Amino acid sequence: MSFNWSLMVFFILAGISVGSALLVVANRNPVRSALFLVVNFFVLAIFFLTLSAQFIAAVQVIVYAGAIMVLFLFVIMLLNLGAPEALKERGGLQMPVAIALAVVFISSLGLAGSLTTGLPPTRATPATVDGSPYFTNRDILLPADLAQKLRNGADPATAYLRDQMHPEVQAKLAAYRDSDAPSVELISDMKRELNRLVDGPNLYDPQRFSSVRLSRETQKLLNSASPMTDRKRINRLLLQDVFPLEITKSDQMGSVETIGKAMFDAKQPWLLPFELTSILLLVGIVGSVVLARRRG
Amino acid sequence: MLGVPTEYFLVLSGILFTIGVIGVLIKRNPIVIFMCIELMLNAVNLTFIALGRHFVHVNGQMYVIFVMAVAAAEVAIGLGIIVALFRSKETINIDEVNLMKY
Repeated sequence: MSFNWSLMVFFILAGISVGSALLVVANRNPVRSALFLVVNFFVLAIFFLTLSAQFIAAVQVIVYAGAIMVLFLFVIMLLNLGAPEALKERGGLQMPVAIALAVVFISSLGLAGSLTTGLPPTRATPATVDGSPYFTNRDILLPADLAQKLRNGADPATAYLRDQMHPEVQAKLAAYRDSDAPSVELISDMKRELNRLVDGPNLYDPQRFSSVRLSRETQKLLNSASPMTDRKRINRLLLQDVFPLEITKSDQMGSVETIGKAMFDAKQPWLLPFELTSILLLVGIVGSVVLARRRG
Repeated sequence: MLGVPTEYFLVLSGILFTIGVIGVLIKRNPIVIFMCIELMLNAVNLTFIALGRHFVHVNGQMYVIFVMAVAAAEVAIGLGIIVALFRSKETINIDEVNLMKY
């Protein structure tokens, strides 16, 4: 029986995060609560990192563990609330009622979870951010470099890929000059031909790809996958490895690049919320200035 | 952590959210109440990111960015209110701040 290490790491981290969250609530001293909250934020940042959200993990550390916690500690120190006896917790019914409500809440969550049919199965090895193995025009990051590489065919893999393309496209590539920017037509031609290669038979051949550095994901898929069902995904990953810089890589789901592209893509709904957030922050600044002003 | 089912992350974030709810209900110190609200927001962020990975889509992470921006603005304003309150009442005990209640 193989031991599942990632599950063990998950349970250790989950234990730390739940424990530190409980200590945030249980501590009478707000400074200690704040410090345990930092522990909780860091553990969540590790979770984000393992869930392929690198950018969010970095922002979590900078914004939450950095800025927000400094603000908390600053206010606690400013108001001199560090002394544990500064605020007496009131006894009475509140605690048992709160815990009863919490039990009701978490059991209704559990009930809702058990009533649903469960999550649909995940795609084990994502081909792209949106799950499709095909390229779009936006996936071609550096069209000029891609055209150049295909035209030169310096290594066996690129030469082979070029030879598989439609003769017309090959002619266009041969006519391509380094000094020009590739035309929109050429870019969509290259995209169409790459997609045809994805659709075609398995591109892999040990000799052909000997000069290409295969990513770990590709190697794993080549070793494990059934060649019939995962053919398109293997082809997509192989093409990514042949042109590592020129076209988007699939494992970049949480990278700054992917998030930035999604944020400023006019076809996606994030641009307006982004602008609204800046207004919200402006209102926040004005609000805190008004609050902090000394009156009469 | 490809070996960990998404459901485990959802259960963990449910537990963290509930701990935050308990804290909001029982604490008397508004600063600690704010910390518990942050705890709840973070639990929701974990849900977004876990489901984003499950469905292999970047939108889960996009939501988190906005949640974080709103959380930062909320903390700045909330702590500003607490400082203003302390200045006028010399206390921040939630039970003694009941001017708006009656």
